[in-house]
Amino acid sequence: MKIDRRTIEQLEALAKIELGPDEVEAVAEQLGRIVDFVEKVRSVDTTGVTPARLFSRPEEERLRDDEKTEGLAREDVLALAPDASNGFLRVPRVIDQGEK
Amino acid sequence: MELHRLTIAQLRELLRRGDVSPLDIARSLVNAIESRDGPIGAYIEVFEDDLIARSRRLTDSGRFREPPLAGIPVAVKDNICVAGKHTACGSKMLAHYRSPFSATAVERLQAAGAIVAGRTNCDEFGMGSSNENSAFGPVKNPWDMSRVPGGSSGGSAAAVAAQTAFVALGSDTGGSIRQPASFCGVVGLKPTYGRVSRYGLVAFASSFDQIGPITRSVEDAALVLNVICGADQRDSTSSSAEVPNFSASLERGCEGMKLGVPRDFLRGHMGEGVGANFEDVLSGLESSGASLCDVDLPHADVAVAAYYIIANAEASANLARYDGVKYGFRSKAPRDLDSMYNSTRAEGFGEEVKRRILLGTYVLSAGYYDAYYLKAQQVRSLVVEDFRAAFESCDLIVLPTSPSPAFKLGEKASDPIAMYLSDVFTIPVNLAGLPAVSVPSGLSRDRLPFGVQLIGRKFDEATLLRGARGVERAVGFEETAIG
Repeated sequence: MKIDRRTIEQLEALAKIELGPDEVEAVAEQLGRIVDFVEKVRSVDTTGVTPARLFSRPEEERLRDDEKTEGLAREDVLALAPDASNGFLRVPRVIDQGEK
Repeated sequence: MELHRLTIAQLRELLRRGDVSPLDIARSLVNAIESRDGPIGAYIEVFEDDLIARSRRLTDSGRFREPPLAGIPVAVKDNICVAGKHTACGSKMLAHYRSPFSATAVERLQAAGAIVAGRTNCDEFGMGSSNENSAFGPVKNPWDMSRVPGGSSGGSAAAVAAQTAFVALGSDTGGSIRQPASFCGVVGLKPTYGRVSRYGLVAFASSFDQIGPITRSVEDAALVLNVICGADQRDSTSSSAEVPNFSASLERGCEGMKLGVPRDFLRGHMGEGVGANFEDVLSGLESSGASLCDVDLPHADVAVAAYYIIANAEASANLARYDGVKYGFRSKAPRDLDSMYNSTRAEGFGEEVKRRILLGTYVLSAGYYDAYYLKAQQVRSLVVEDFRAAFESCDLIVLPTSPSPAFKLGEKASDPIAMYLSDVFTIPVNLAGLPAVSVPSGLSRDRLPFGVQLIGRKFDEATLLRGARGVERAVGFEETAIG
């Protein structure tokens, strides 16, 4: 199947991965081949088959007790961030850009 | 004595008798890594100082005779967290990430006295079958340095084969423990989905991922599984199924067992030498008292296709967390928030990971969800049913682990589908959440290891490992990659 440029652009937007101009062609071609390959599932007769959903035993589906547990320390978590200050994660400015 | 050559069971015996100390073991291993790992590249990082310091403390305390893995160094795949250490998942995205916590499996190993020796290379986020998709470079197969060790747990398998690790943890989403174990001539165990907690295993495809050991013997695999398995509050899919002592019944081997052979499925998939080796193994098993029967897995042939839909759908959701905000890599030149996400993910992920995220996004997107994702989940149900029916007439299923021995570096790098098909014999197991193990089964004419795979019923690793011990005895594989 041929994956067209517009579909690739949609996928880039949904997955938030910006492909380089030189990558688009190759990715479209490879994705097309992979989609052709996975198409095989459509030839299987699945009339009346319930889709698989979970793999633990149903009787074991459980939530842990609603008890307070120790989480990670705030400073340890913030230390992992590419940019943090005053106890917050920092990202490029998202408001007050004078647009709209 | 060259301690690094011994199995865990042998080391335990020497420790118990007081013939060696944990420090002797650590030193022997560090020497082996120093002299051998350079060209192989199994380790991304060796925690040498830690290993020596901890084993010295253990030696001084004298408390190394009782705990089940006391003083045993373990290597850990780079996608399993060890508190205070880097966990990079073979990715530029997490190259500088230092985990503030340990995986449950690692905590349990440490509680049993084991010492983490280092982290092993792997395909980025576990996505690959050759260990060529690592931001830290490829790993070489210790049997033939022009060949891949398999993947994604390639570093783990190569280290165990090169005798630079006694045991290494790996993770198996579609064959990532068993296929490299087969390529490297070592034992690789993928436990039942839910048997080992996934807490602290960096998620690739959450309904498939499972941690397991790569070892030099079936006995060692059982020793390690005993320690790492069992329910865990921090993973709601971990099972509270009873945990037997997996070491207890090993020596009974496969005598009296009924082994199912999926001949129709195997036909046409086995490359040169694999079929002949497999038939040899089957006759050996029959001579050891097992009986064979044919079983049918009618949907195993479409399992790879269903797997690449479901696993990548899950991956596209799981890897959404790498956004350059909370941890990991952030692109240097963001104009605004959206472009920061886009360029962070474009620069931080490698080619195969991007391809898989895009495919997962495609099969989940409006208009395609029913045709691909839902359909694949129905096929998954059919594969589950195939195995259920097969296990009505046998105790274990036996088949080769991989359609070929280790292939050349670069051989499949530009053909994703050829690469995916190298997992054709391992993937059906993950779709059904079953336990399976790869055991070395001989060498090809080029001296490359073959592996045979056993598949068991859910949560019946006891029978699985007994069967594996039977294979080990029947084959009598004693060759090593390092002379």
